[in-house]
Amino acid sequence: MKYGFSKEDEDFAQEVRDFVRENLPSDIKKKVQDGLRLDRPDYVRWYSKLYERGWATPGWPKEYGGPGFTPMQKLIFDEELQLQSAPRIIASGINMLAPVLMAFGTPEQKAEYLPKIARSEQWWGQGFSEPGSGSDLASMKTKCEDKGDHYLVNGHKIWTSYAHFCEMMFALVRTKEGKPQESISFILIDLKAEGVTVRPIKMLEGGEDLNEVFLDNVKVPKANLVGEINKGWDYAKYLLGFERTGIAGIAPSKFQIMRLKEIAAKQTRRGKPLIEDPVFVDRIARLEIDLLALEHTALRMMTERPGAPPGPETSLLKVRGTEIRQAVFEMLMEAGGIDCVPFEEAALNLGEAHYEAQPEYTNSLAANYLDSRKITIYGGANEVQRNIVAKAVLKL
Amino acid sequence: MDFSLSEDQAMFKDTVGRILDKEYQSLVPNDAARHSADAIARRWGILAENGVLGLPFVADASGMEQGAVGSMLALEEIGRNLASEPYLASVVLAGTLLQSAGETAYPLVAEIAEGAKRASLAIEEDGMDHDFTNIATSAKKDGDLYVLNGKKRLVLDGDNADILVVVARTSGKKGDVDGLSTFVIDANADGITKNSYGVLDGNRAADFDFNNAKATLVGEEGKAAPRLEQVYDAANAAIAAEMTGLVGALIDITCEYIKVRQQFGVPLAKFQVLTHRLVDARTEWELLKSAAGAAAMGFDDLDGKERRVLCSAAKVQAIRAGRFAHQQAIQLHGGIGMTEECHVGWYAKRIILLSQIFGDESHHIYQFTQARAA
Repeated sequence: MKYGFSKEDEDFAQEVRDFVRENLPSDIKKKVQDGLRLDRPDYVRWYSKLYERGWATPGWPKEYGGPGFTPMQKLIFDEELQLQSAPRIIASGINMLAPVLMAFGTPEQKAEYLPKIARSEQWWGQGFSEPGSGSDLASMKTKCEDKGDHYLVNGHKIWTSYAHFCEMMFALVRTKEGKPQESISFILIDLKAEGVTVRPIKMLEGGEDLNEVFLDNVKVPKANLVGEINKGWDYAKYLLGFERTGIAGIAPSKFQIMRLKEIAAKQTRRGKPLIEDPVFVDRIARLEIDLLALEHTALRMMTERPGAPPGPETSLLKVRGTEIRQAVFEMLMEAGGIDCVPFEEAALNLGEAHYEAQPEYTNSLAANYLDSRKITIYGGANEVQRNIVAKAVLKL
Repeated sequence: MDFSLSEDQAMFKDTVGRILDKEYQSLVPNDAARHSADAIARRWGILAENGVLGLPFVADASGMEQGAVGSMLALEEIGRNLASEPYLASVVLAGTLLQSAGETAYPLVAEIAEGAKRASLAIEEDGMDHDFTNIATSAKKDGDLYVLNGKKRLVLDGDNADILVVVARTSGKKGDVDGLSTFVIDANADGITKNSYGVLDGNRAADFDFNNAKATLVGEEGKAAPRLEQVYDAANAAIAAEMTGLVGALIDITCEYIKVRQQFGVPLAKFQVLTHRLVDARTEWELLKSAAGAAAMGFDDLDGKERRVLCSAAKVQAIRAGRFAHQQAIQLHGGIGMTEECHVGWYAKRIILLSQIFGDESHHIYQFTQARAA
């Protein structure tokens, strides 16, 4: 039991801090800070800087060009980036597809895709969910028929993030009838292929980062099957295990609480700055205390059993982390008061707000709050996560 | 940050767990064997023999040098068994305050660690309101001793104490940080009137009136304030640790219950609302375990505001988790959860006792905010 970080880890944290401060473009920083829209060129601009430093693929093993971070270093790296409002590495190619290719792909697939993924030249969408298959992913229906020299895919995927600017999509498809563990395969689909239609979905806060992908007799080369046929469900479970800890959003919540205090200092209630209202301060403190315990829990789950992989109780990090994050966005919107009511979609793009009576920092508060409602739904809905913990941890 | 236990730490935790599991597994909550003075004294001897009472203390005081982390390991097992051992009252509260007085107090700390003497902390007073500077019990130098006058209340385990560690004012006036001092006095000394009573969890506490009672100074006269802040943090870190055990046990008991109890032709565990309730309790437990660990580590490694942040945060977490766990444990047990004989009610009572002493939730949220801002 030891409090605090080692000198090496503290030095590393400073190194990351310095790098971000010196290399993160200020317009991108402002967009992330203020909850404004980012597009592909923004992400590429930042990821290229990381790539030059060898940090664009922080979770990759050294043999594939990753920096070989220890779990603690990876945690520190992610946290320091987020505390300074660097965009998260959202790329599904880097975080989700790459581990699967490394574990189950052919040498040709690795050589073809991993370098392009690392350089952010090739963007990948995740084709898992379908209109009829969200939490119940195993019920998915997109069909993949063996036509001898190619596969033929028909179906409909939904909630594919950033598909509108992705080149490729990795997808789960049904190659046989039967139980999911025996009938689903993992394939790679070119989003520019004939028969593919990508349609953005307008979300309630105005964004269009999520898409439907219609697959109408799409021909997929045999070489695009990853691993063994009908074993895709195992690969998907493997991949989804990588999503878990980052999704708790501890560092972003820390940052947003700092922002909440700054905004509360600028807003007045009953003649005084909101930050001087003891009731509001009490509510912030409750969130900070909860977040501190969550942060310590992430560290405890990482260190208390050296060498052991994360257990099913890590699902609770996602459940509580997303609930805290939502509470913070709720308080941010509350702090914005009536200034949150004027709403123009253009205001979510940096520099395009033109309603002057509204302080700049309030442009995005309502939109960010609305957008935050998804985090308890995606990445494994919190109710499903609770089911997992009930079964695997409490044995109920 | 490392939450893994060393071999020694794992061994101590295991030792306490085994001793208490054996003693308590056949005892119902209200069994006289839990609370009787003889039974407690016997178990105290066993714990002393195994080095458990000395866990947090320095080697020169017959201690095992494990600090607040050591206490945490023992307290979690105590909480899990709903054990009546006055570890918090005697080892943590009295022991910590004595040890911080310096080497001259070590022989006395050693007597606590060896189980030779039971000590209780007499700090609480009417109107103190968690602010030591309000302490009104006075201490006036008289030769080598000091004459104490005043009233102390809610001395935990006071009924069984051999020695009282008393906090009193030697100089200055109400509200002054300077002028507070700590003393030891034999619990049976002249001038002391004891009024003992039962408390919520079935144990006993006592109020003490001091009427020209003569006590010995420990530590530097007038300079006890920082040591009082420290013992306050120790108390709250310890409460968080014991609460971890209490909450964990309630979750285990309730999970077992809903697997067995049937209604509508199925075990209660088939109903998702109920299993999710227990998952939420487990979440609170995970957060509490981490907060208690961080507070114990922080107590040993940090000072002042940094230590206060962690210990107050842990107390808040303890109160939250304790509240949710005991309320839901009763709820999920249905009607029998409300009976005196049901285990969950007794856990609930210990939980609420610990939540009421050494600062409630809003007090510690305030402490946290002040310490963080500093």
